[in-house]
Amino acid sequence: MSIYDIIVTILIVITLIYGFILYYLKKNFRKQIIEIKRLINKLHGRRASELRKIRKRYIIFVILSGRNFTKKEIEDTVRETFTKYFGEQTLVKADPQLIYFEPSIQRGVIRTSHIYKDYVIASLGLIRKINDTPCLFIPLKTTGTIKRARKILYRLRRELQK
Amino acid sequence: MRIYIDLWIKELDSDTANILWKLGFKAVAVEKLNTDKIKPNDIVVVKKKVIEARSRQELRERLRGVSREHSIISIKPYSIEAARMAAHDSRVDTIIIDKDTLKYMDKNQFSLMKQFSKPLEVSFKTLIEPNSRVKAMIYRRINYYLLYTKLPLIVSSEATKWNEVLVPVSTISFLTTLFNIDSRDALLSISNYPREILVRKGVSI
Repeated sequence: MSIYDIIVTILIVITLIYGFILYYLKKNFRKQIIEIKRLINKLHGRRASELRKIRKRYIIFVILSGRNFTKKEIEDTVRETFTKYFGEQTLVKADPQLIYFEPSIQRGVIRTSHIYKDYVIASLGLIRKINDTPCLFIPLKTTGTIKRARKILYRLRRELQK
Repeated sequence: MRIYIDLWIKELDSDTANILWKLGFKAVAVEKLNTDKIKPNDIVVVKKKVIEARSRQELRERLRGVSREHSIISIKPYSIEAARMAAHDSRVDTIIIDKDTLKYMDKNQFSLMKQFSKPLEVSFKTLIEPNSRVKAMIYRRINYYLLYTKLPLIVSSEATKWNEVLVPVSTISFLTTLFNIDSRDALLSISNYPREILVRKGVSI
């Protein structure tokens, strides 16, 4: 057996091993990526599952009705309607809170999660009565900061209440 | 400002017209007008006729003599033959789906509607129907309609009082969350699609 034969045999073996590794990686590529991500997360002390940061959204709304409502009445109605149409679990995740309400102009600000903003706006449109008094909730604007929400609360579409 | 159109107001009085104008509605199709005080500049009011038909013959009789111009004709079919006829009759503008007519809205009906370009109309009252079983059946049919026919879906309010009108922003969000469609497509259901029908009828907005 010459040196030439030994080199050729070694080369064939290396090529076979390389081919097998490539085939294995290609077959389990997705699994490998997940495993690498898991290792990186473990290294940084994070959980493997995707946990997204909850950003807040402030929805400014106005109520059109014959009588003035209190803050508690409105908050209860919003939560009740939300639960009726989207369920208890979504309510927990969305957590709509009436953080500010101005009784004189019947306008307020609802704070919720950015993911469930559309759900809260949809549920506002579904409210037709509060304690058997006909009313209409109109969402005016959504902002990302409470400062901006308060700023535009008084000057946005004043013609609605005339 | 966007132009919103409500294609089905059951009863319109001055309060409802006032609220509609404030919400940005520029035109409405009304079944029963309860006042003469609506200023002509405020809001464009078009007459709407909702025909309930149990058979082909009944539908033919009711459509006879109905003016094609300046009035919207919508059909509530209560039998398969009425539904099929409504789909291919050129006088019909929309076909309404609700808890009584959903039985006749099947694949064949939708393909016939696609062939003759007849849009489906659903009222907001139907979408928030208290019976969840009926609501699920309506949801399934509309989902199929949107997915396979790619025809316009028109959403109207069927309002009789001022507090039953559509709130445009909420309606768009509701459609987005319910049917998992893009907000731009949801917006078309209360703006461009009804407008196309009105323009076809000779109404200028």
